[in-house]
Amino acid sequence: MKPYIEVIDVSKRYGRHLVLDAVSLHVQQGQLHGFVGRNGSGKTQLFKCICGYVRPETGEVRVKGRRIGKDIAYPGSLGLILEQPGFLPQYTGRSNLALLMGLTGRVDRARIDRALQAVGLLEAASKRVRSYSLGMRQRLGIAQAIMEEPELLILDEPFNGLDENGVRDIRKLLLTLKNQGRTILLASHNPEDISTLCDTVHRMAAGKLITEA
Amino acid sequence: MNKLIKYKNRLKMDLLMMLRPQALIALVAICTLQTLNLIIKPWNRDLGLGAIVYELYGGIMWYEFISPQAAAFWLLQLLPCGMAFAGFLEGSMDSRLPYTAYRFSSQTAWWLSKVAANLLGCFAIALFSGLLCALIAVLGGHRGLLLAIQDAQGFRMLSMAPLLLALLAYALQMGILTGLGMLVYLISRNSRLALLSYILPAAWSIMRHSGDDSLLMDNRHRVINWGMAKRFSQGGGFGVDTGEALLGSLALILALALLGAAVQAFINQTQRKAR
Repeated sequence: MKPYIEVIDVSKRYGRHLVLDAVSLHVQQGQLHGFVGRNGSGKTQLFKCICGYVRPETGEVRVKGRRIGKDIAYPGSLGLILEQPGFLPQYTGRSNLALLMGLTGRVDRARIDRALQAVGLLEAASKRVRSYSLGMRQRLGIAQAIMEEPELLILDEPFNGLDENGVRDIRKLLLTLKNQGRTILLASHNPEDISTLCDTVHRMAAGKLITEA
Repeated sequence: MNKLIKYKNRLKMDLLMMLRPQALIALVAICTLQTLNLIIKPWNRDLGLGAIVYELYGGIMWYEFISPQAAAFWLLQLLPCGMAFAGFLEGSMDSRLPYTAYRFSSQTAWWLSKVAANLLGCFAIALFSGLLCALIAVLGGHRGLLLAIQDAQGFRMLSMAPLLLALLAYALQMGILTGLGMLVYLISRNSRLALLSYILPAAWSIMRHSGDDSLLMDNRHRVINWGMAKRFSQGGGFGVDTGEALLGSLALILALALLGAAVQAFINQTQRKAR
């Protein structure tokens, strides 16, 4: 079966600093791959290459057989968490999601509420984001990534700022999404998140990818 | 239908970024002060409503020496749009980029959407400014939207055209300056540089007019004159040709947008860090 994501010999350099060093990776549809490694090891850069935000110097990335940056700019059906989500503090959580969903077409309120329910934010959905805690903002970030029900989810440190309950809820959610056939790439500093959730674990160090299991 | 809704939503989001409370407060404050400054003068007591809006947003007459006060007055009028533009840069082109970029089909689609939203925002600011000025003038007891103008045969007639022309030129002027700022931001990813490129060309250009020798011949090709309806010839021999000014403004806005679209091929916005 053809892989859903193919990363073929991708390298990226910023000045003298080699951030990705001939990385190759194959991910099948419906799999959950975990990435561990120290800060600056290249996890985020690899994710950015896959979602089309960074153009590799050598090699190529294919999603569903289509070359990112050549055949298409970004993977067609994508949900993303990179860095801290930049929500509008003066609007409610629900309005923020509606504004983001509106960028791709019609705003589906039911889908937004389903995503808010999935991350445990439905009750606080009518509150302004400025009143949200760090953990609530992170949950909202996860909600914006899943609300369009994308085939591919790229989640860079989705557990940041979450309390114990939050981590448990989101782990459950990720397993549900995986069982629904979504392909998920997950980076986390917590080895437990990775070991309990992922089919395959990759360790990154100095831009190199080592697949562990 | 879905495409239309998508474009409408994209514009709506960017307009929300532009017309943030800070920019609207600046707009209300500046417009109110400038209108009051105009209507409290005894010689303006008989001016009609339309004449007041025209007086404020028409800029400086083509034959007038531009005093530092007049220059500051006009630059102050460009300030609310500058503040709106700062919000637009920060909100639409910078901090929210990782969450919005992939929801567009390509970087070019993203850029063209920003260009359209920015231009629409400039028109919204011009319209809102004109309406607010008119409202204050009405509260001050001024009436009558029509202005007295001379037609080609020299007959006096009443028309709203100069008023609409003033607001249109003002909006296009802001469109040029913000368009330039957007292009500078696209290339440099530096919001300070982009904001400087919004205000500096206007300030430099208007200062160049403050000498007696550059009043007439030089006028036509100075972009700053394209934003001031009072510098248009409007049938007379002097000043900037109206058609040339409006078409020139539109052409410049289009050229900046197309240049940005061309630059997109060489610059990956999402790869670079904002400064």
